[in-house]
Amino acid sequence: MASTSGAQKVVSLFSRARRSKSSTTNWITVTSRVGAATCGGYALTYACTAWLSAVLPLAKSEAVLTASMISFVIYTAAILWAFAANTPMRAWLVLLISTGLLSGMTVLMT
Amino acid sequence: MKESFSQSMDWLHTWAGLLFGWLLFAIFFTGTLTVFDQEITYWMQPELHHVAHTPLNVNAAMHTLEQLAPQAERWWIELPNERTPASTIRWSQDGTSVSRVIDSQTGQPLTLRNTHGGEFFYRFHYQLLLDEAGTWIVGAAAMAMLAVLVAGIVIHHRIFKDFFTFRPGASSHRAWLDAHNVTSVLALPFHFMITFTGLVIFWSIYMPAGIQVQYDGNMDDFWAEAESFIEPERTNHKAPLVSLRDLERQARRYWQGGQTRSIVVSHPGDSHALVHVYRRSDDRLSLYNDRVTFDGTSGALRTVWINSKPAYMTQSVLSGLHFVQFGSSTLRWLYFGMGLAASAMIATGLVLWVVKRQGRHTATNTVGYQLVEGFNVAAVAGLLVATATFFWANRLLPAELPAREFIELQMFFTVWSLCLGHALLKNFFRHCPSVRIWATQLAMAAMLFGLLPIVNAITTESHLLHALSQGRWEVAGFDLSFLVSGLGLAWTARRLDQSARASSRPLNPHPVTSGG
Repeated sequence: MASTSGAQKVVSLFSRARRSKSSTTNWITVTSRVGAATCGGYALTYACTAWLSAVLPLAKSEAVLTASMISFVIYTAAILWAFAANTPMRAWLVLLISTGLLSGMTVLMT
Repeated sequence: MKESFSQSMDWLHTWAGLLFGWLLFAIFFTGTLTVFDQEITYWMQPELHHVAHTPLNVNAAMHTLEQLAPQAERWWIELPNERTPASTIRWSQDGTSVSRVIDSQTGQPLTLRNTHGGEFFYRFHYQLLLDEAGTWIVGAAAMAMLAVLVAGIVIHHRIFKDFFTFRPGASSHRAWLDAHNVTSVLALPFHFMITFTGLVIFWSIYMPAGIQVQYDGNMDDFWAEAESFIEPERTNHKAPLVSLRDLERQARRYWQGGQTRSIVVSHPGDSHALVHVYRRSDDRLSLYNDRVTFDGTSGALRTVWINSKPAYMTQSVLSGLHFVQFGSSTLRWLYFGMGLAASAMIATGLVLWVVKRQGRHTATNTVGYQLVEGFNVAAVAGLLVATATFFWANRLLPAELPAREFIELQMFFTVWSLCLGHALLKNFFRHCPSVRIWATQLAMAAMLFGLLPIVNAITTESHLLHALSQGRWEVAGFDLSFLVSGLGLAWTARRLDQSARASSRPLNPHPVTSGG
């Protein structure tokens, strides 16, 4: 989508929204992606926060707070990534595998 | 959906923005009013307007609590400050908590009209009056807001240029897009800050992973370590409390001029009573502040807790940035303005969704499109009408009416629902263009806000001229703000009405306002 003038860009913004709407008739794909973003993203964030709380070289309460504050940035990134991923399946796989890895590492550490 | 990164972000921005936009507008608008929560409560209890600012007689407050709530599990004494002359006592017993506004000198409860005041907007903006379920819903909306904001930046290629672009005379959707961009970019750091800090305040509810891993899910253990906050069990042996006034004075010595915000007594009257004296947080960014804890029966010093740990301080400052207890009224007005910009960003985004699809017969004939049109009007204009109604109810309901604070809320929600009903019915059955419905409801809000100073003058003694002549800006400010809102809304309603007239000729049921 390489438009030249600003006006064209604005116009293309509208047509794009319309085109993407027509190409999302497959609601299963959309639901799957939304699920990956919200549930998969939350699972990854939860695992990541738990892992950081255990691994950060700080006093216990400080590590927990630091990890918890960062968690909202991680969740935002996970949501955006799930929507940017090539396919919903890929989004699910990557999110769940990294959740599993982080959980495993946390269990081993504590 | 998958076409390119910026296209998927466009999709996310459009649909998450639409779906959460109605709720987010309500959260941001009521949150914006919460900036002045103490002032709103003060305005809504005109009986307080002739109460003088005096320092609290702490022991008098303590005697009142001993009389009213000898069996309570916990007492709170909130000291007066520059924003409100009233002191408040509160106690909790068997899971319920009761509060009374007291005279600062005698400690006797004052007879005030019952109202939730600014507290209503405060509670609504973070839990929608639904307790913890509401906190989760608002949290989900806040996460959606963060994602939508980032997606909005990604799809916005000309962020700097557009900051200087506003074409009110251009085609309708371009003008709305400009308005959306200006309100977004103008206060973008604020939008991020207020959303992120809102989430950080409730980290222990939204993201308890760390508590689970490090404290086996026990929140009390966390507070014991982070704040040295440990409370012993009740012994059920009676023992008298020492003078709270002396303890409050003693506590202040640790704060180099810091003042007391509140005194909390746990297990009052028990031999394990503890007295916590909290420092005020309006002279610093961090919200959670220094505390001095004493043994309630001997008066012996137990803990002097000073907020000094880096992560704890960071969380406390982030919370402080959200609560804006620091700084002056100028800063609160600045927050108020940014909050309005955020609300306007959401409202223009919602309108943009509709305007973009205008003139496309396939899009505008669907039930979904009409529902969105109706919800938009009710979520934005309807909420304004309901807010004005809330203030009207406060002045018109008799002060002694039982449960009047619930009736105020009922009126707020009834009027809001009526606005939704009006918008949907007009749209579905009368095929009224949504611009018309917007104009009607905004005119309604304009009238209600514009007439509030008159209602206030008739029902109370502190009318505008009286307050102005006495230089009481905390009262006059409301009347003036109501007048400004009324005029602004009336102007908007008039402009919308004109454009509706211009574009809805009988032969042209689908207004095409675009110039290109």
